[in-house]
Amino acid sequence: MPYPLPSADVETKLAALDAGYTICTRTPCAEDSREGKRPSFIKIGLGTNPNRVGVLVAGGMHAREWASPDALLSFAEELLKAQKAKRDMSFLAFTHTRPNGTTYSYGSYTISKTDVAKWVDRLDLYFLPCVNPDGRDFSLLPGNKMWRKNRWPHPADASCSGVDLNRNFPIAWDQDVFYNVAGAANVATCTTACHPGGQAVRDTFRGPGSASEPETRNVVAVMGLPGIKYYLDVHAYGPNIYFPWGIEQNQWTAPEKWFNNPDWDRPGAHGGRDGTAGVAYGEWIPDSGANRLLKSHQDLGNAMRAEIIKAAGASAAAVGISTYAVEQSLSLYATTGASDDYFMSTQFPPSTGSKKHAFTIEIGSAADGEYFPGPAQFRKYERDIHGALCGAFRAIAAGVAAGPSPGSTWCFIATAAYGSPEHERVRLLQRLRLEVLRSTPFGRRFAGVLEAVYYSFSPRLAAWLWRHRRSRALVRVAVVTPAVFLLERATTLLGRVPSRRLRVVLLAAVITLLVAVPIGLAGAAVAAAVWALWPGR
Amino acid sequence: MNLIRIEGSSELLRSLHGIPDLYLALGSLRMLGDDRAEIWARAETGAIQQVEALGCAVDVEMDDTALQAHDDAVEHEIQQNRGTV
Repeated sequence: MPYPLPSADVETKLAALDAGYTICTRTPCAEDSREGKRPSFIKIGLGTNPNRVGVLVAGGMHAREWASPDALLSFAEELLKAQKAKRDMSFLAFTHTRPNGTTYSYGSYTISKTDVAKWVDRLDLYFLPCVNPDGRDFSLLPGNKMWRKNRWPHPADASCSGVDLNRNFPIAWDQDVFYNVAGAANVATCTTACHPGGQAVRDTFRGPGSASEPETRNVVAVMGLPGIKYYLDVHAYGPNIYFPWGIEQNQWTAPEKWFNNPDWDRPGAHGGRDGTAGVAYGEWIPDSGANRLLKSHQDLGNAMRAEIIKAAGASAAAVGISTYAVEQSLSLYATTGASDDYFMSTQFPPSTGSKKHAFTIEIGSAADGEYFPGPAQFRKYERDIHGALCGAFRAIAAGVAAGPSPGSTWCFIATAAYGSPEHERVRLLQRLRLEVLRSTPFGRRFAGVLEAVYYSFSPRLAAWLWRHRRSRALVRVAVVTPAVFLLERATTLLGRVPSRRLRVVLLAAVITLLVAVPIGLAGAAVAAAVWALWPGR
Repeated sequence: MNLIRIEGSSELLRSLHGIPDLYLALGSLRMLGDDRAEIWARAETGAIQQVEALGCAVDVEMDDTALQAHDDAVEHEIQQNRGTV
């Protein structure tokens, strides 16, 4: 396998995955990069579970961090192969050779087909493996490997070109407004394209404006797709797993101290946030009652950490160099305009129903290959990335309710038609079946026959409906809504019948009529058509 | 360019940002306890002297020659063989 792939090869690979697997869909991003390249992303998922949540995994935001695009592609490909063949995901053993020559043995690593089936049922997995195609291709040219930014062209001086995309997102972008003077002095973001400190300082140039870069806006647009609740941004190097906030110290007791409160901006009543320079201000992250956003970030980060260790195998030495710290992004420095903080910010002010989680995974270490592992080091970076993803997907999927299965209490077709098992009409149908129909021995026998027939075809039909929006709307309007309306009226009328047994018998009769009449009408229509078209008539 | 590990107090390490030719790897920062921290970086010799002058301890993990040789080897492999793994 060639490594590292130039951006065009990443796109070719994504197109091949789209063409080869029905549960994989490739979509080009909305905008071309600065140099006219259009990155794309894939979505992997069966799309049938009404409770499913979206997880966006991004890579290649920083040009010189070579491993993530290739590792995300190899993960997606193995996941798709395993799902299609209904087999385990399997990653081969390898030897990791550090640049100084020390070697480490990593064993094979397997993810069960049960996990694979759960993930594609309960999650919509989005992979955007090459956020910064121009930067990547530039970094792969001889002599350019340290290049970090995109290829924004400075209007006057080419040596000042490039924007650090991970300082360009619309969250606390203007540090001279967000922080007080002392706080702004400790921000690891460069505000001047042509900073006299040279490239080492210009590496974190935030850009000429908030979300000024098309590559940034592409990520923002994908983050905004319906259902995406988790964002994993893969970088190098650490080894660290970071969660928000990067803009300030976390605190969970003062909801008024949050990024959008102008009282805490520099022109406001308090004169600006203090960043790492003081403790008067901390960024609010809910961590009480039903919304323990801090704890759930720590838990998910620890799940990734544990799975990376598991993926390292039995060698204590390999485990030693694949042990990650799980920490808040902000440490000595504050960072502004970062993608994880931006994704986190999109749920504020938070509600219990809209929890979003964001992580920056800093893969690898200085001793293992820094930002740009060579071919002899790539497999270790790849394995750590795969471990992190598996840990995250398993933990997230465990928190998602299973979809309908035969024998459950689900109304498959109505759920598909209305888009949620929580819809009031779906709940009405469930209530009729479970609480009214099943309240007598006759009703239970009738329901048993009804469900045996219904479950023989409805899961497949419902799965098909989930994939066809127009058909879903047609079934909702022409079939399910009239049926629910009639059942609702019938139930109201039957409520006047004093005998529960008789009530259930009459309800069973109504249901039989509702099923039999359309089938009878369809049969009559077919018979009439055959009669009309019969040769010789 | 050298690959270096820098150790010092939080306050000292905080003052490193902005030194010319010091490419700090922010993701590598680790707190060591007792208000000590370490961070990795690539740095030119002049930048190392500035870091040491501030009071930080610097370990050179790969000097200019070794790092250049490693960079050249990786680059050669990438360019010649498309980095087969």
